Amino acid sequence: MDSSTTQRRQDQPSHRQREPLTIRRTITVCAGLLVLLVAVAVVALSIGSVSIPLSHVLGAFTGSDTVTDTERTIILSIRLPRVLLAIVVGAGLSIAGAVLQALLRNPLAEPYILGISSGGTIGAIVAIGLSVGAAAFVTPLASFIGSASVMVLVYAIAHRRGQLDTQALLLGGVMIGAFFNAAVLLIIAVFNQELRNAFLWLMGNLSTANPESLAVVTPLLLVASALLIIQSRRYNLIATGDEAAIQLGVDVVRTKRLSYLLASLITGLAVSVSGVIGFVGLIIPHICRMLFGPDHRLLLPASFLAGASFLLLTDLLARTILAPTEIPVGAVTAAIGAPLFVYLLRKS
Amino acid sequence: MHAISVNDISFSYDLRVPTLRDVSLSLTRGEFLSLVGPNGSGKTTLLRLLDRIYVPHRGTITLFDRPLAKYARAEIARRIAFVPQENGIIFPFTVLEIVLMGRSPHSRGTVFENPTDRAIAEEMMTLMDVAHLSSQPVTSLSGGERQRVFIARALAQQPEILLLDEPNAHLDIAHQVDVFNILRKLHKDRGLTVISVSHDLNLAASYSDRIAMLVCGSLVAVGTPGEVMTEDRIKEVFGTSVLVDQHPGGGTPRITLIPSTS
Repeated sequence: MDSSTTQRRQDQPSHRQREPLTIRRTITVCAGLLVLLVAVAVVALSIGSVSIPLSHVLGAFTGSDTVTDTERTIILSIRLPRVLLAIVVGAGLSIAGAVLQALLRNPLAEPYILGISSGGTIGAIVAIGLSVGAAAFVTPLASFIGSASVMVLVYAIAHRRGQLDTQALLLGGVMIGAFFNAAVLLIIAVFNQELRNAFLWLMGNLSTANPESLAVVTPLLLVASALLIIQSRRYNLIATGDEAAIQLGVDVVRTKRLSYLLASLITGLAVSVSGVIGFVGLIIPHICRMLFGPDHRLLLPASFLAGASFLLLTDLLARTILAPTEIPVGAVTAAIGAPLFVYLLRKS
Repeated sequence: MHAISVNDISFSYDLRVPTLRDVSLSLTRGEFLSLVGPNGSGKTTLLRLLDRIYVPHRGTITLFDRPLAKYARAEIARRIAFVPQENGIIFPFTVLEIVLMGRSPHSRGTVFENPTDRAIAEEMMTLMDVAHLSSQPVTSLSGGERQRVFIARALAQQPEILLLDEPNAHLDIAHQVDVFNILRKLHKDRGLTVISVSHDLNLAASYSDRIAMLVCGSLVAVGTPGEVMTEDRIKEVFGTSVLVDQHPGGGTPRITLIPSTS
């Protein structure tokens, strides 16, 4: 009796006495998640083939004398770009997933499942294959075009008689993903020499982190995420139905168009620097919804911050678990995400 | 002053079969009107046009003597609330969270609800008998409870006009009467104009000032319940025989179905 009550409470902690969201709670939770993110980042900077004490990690940033030049180089030049990349990509994929779920009213929607990530891959690979990838912004741009095209395509496939067919949406997305993965393999076969790294795109990887691409991707991704967050109250209304949102004063068509565009942009940017990292956009919004409730005014910033910590941790796992061999971080996220997808599918 | 005035509007979803044809209808402020008619006669579509979820292809709609097309979306939401038939909600928002959403047209740029919003939401939850469910996720409620939550959200918009699409569809008889009593009270006390789509002809006849009957996209009758609900017309429109007499408690028409004997 006692244990079953406890069990129930653990299952739905947010349902029992959840009060409506206040600005105070939003700030508190986000501050907590930010502290967590910084802590995880410091740990990620200290762990690797060479272990560096936490105090030296902090010392590398403050210019302390106890830190050796080698340590400083490892932390600032090798590990920091990768850590920043994990933060940006994890945050972006998570917020894109949370927004897509609200717009499509489907907790299974996310950039990888919908094929949007694969669209980004094909864009990036075509750009590199045509050797126009010289300028740092060309690959992200091509990735974005690929992502946005798939977004439009999947939407068209699933849209029938003014209704979105959930099954067609998910199956269409998965099939487009499979098709583009095949296309990527074909392109690799044809351009064998130039695209040795292309395999990395098929199963996300953060090892190619470099300051140049970070400098292009980070500001765009932050701006796009901020633009999504400021619309979060509208996503609450849209999540209860398009007609309901219109009648509550939301310009649904415009909001959706802009949001799909921004979600595709974020996905394209993430893919252009890290390849296809699946399921992050599924796992993180799901966990955040369980912990903090479905209100998007908290769900979006929380997913953004938690997603950053999550990808940092999974990347840490990916590069240390079989050290010195590295496994693609996308394999780790898929190992966690695929079972969760099946669970959510059974539940819905 | 007319609350809503519809002038010769026509609309179709796919441009071949017109859903509504040359419909004209005016409501004075504070009127309670029921829209009745067979399935597919265009009742829901007419409500959608009245709330500018769709725009008529021909004809005009005016809201408080100003063209509906000239209103900003949020301004319509402050004057008209619409409770759709189905709410395919899948995320576990609590009842209070849902009802608070009704305050968003009044938020004027602020992101979070203030204490006034909270008080209004709580008042409407009490009115709709869902206050005890306040912190329950709406996804765990029965169809009828959910229906009352969405009516409470519409009332939280503090609209002047309330559009309801089969508000009684999922309600047990006690709550059907409760909800309609509350709507009548709001319309008497606060001058709320109500347009309700209903398949329950008796409920429509007991509560409405006027009834409008739609058939295949055209209005065939508009008038008091006594004028509209006649045996001949119901047989013609619905294709089924009924007995119409006077309600012993009121004087409004009472419609009794006659089961086929064959």
